[in-house]
Amino acid sequence: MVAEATRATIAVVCLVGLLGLCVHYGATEAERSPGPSPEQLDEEYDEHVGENVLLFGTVLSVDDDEMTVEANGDAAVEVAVTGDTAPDDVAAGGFVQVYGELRPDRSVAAGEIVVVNSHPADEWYKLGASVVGVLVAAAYFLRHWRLSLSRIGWEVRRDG
Amino acid sequence: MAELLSHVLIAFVVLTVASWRLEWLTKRWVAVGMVGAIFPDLEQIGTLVSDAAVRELLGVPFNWAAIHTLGGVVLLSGVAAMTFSDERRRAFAVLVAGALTHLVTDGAKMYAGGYASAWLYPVVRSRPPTPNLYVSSDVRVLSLVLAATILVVWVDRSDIATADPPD
Repeated sequence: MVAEATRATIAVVCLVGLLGLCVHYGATEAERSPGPSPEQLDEEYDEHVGENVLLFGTVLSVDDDEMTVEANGDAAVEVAVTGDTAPDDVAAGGFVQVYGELRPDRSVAAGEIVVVNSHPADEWYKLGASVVGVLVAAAYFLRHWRLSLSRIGWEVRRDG
Repeated sequence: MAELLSHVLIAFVVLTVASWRLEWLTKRWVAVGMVGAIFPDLEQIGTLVSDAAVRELLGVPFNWAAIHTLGGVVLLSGVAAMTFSDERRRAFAVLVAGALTHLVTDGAKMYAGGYASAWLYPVVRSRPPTPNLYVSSDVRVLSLVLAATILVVWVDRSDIATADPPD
């Protein structure tokens, strides 16, 4: 019983530590963030004009020399992306990373664009492969381990 | 993140190769490491309960992305290791190892601007540079990992892996 209490205590301490880490990570986010977040752009765009920004967002439209992106975060903000590095392998619904300078006309002069998903279907590929990955890990784990109610925890499956 | 199938199989490959030299690292521990490889992506809990919602609830800054870091996976592995009836230290070590294969793989992902996510946090609080090797939807990643998995399974089942080196 003492062992179970110790295990529970350690688990709770780790869990509280993890939540504390999430709080600290959130509090120090500005140290790591290159430029304003979508939330900041939504609320105070003009204050950040001229700064470099890294945005992650869904492509709303693409034409020859401009792309419109909805940057995702706690807020969604729509910006035009210009520059001679505009990719030709992305369609509306794709997902991109954009790094560049914020301009006054709600646009970003992109220095670098990374196409994460060329098409919306790429997201389904990742989702499908991830579901399979979880199932593979769970099946292989349960082949070797079983949940013991008497000993409260995972124990080796002797017939595995 | 790359998709989770690649991450789980990378953990399998790395830990199986390690098992050729570490006698205690049996298949059941490799299986534990594969579960650990999923841990960094538990940050996706943020799609169910947003950072903003937690911030509002607690009244303090908050970001689930801390789970996808070295500190996050160590603490998460600590929680998970306590669910094992025995050999919890070994479970902890293997869970962390599996999670590390995930973080290292993601550390090589492409980022506009050339810096990866802060995966070494809190040991290194800044974002380390990335070699920009791939994007998460690149099917070549999974193809390469599947090929490596088949090779490792084949070697593991033969005598090559555990044969003593020649004198």
